[in-house]
Amino acid sequence: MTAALAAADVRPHRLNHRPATLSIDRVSVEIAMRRGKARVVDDVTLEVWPSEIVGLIGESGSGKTLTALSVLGLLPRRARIASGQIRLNGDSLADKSDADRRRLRGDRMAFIPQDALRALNPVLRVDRQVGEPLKIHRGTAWSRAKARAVDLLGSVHIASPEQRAREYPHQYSGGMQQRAMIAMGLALDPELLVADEPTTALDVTVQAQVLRLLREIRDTHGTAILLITHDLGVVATTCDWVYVMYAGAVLESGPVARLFRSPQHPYTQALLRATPTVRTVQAELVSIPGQIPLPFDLPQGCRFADRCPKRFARCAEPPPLFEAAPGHVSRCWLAEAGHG
Amino acid sequence: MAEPLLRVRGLTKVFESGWLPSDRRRLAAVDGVDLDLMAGETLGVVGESGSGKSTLLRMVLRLLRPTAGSILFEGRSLGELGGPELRRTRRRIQAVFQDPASSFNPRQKVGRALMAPLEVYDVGTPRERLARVGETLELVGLGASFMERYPLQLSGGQRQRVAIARAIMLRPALVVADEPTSALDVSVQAQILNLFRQMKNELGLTYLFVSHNLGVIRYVSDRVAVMQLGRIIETGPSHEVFQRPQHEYTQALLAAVPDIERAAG
Repeated sequence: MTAALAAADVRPHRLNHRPATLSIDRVSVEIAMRRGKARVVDDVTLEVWPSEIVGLIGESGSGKTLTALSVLGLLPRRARIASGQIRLNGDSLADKSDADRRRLRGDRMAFIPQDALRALNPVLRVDRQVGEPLKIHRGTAWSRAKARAVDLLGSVHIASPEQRAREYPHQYSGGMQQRAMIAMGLALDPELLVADEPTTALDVTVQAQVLRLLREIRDTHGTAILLITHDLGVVATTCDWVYVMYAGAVLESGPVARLFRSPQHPYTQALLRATPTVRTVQAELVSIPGQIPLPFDLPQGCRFADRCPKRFARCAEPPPLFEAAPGHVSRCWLAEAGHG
Repeated sequence: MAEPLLRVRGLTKVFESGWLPSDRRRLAAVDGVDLDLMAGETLGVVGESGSGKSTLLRMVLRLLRPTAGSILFEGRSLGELGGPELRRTRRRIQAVFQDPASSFNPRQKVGRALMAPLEVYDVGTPRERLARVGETLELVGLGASFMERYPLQLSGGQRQRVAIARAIMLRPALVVADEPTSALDVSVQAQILNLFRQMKNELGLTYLFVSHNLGVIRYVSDRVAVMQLGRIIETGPSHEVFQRPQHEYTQALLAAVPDIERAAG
């Protein structure tokens, strides 16, 4: 591990907890394609600690969703983890059989998908679904599992949960469906929640409520939450720590407030300048020319080089992660000591 | 004051659901909307799902017939136009939709798709049409070589550029855009928003621009109309509405936007 990464461990609020709830250690994921193997996640290292919401942000094709699916053991059939280690509170997930993984999912880690309506079963009442993890993992009787579902629905702020628990998913609004998914995820009080674009399909006022709920879960349950999103605003308002992915690699990571105040990587800087905001008038959005390179067509050196306004000769070599401040790292030669 | 390019008065669209008379329900998706759009202006319509913004836009395009109210375009009532007059008017109103992948024929090359509007309206000779297609592709930043490509060979951003090219082929007065960047990544969205601005300056276009994204609306609009439950609840110059929102709902909307500027502060 590089010196920069080792220094990233010096995170005051994290020192009380060892090991990390989720540790993704130099993981690469490959997909078999007609043109050969494509490395869609390349050497990604990421940690999520208790009571922390970690954002994994990237545009389409960045590898953020595949990174999350590799944690859950839900990679598509053609994809596989080519190297690296994933640990849940120290337990390696790689050595687990499919049956063991199934036991982990729902129990120690839960998944919240983007499209809650599609994830819910349309012909089963909500209490039956929210209570199901208890029945399956703990053998709880249905009557007690359903009673517990009512409590869980109440805890995610669904009004009159006794009544609502007896309804079907289509009777719920989009925000309530997502809350029901979150309630189901919380049923067994997992150590880790993985949420993949949980608010992308929601209206902005409903999104705000769901994000507030995630922060509340972090604070009251001490859950570690990995939040996958394409929205910088969601990261800014909800996350404690952020990893910025691009074309399969992490280009920058660090504490959210610091990273937004002082973004180090030209890609992060460009993303921030390309995002329209509601609070200021922008004379001109600075767009990023070109598009994300395809996984079998990656540049030799820095992946962002051909779109980067600051590229120079050194960019032909792949840059490592450099530390800009404690915990804040950037995969850019400009962040090498001396460039400030 | 000059006559607005587009004048909408009391526009209403009621949808009925339910098959049996006993459970028939009526929903006013658009409910008595008034708006004026001056030539050269961009009016941003913003609202959450179900606010009626897309229904409003579909009526302006005459894809839906209003239940009540009127739409005047260049002083003529859209609903009463027919025959050659309707054709002439339609030519002056063009549209860009959210998903460019589904608004092109996948088996038709970009060149043919762009040629179609010129053929329909019998503009120029075949040679002139070809030149116009090449020019317009240059204008939207793609270049004439894209004529030979199929829509599915293009990235999302490139496809949206082609959609814009198609909308401006006939040099319309009004371009109606329905969530034109919602399917795009942030970096590409910025390219397309800037292209909209550039086209407006170069061709003197007027935009009716619908989006749920308040940041996008602020960036492109001169004036903003906020819709809720089929009504326009607040309207005004963009900077006024964003800086001093008067209506409670607008205030709630703005407060809910997760904005990047909050993190650094």
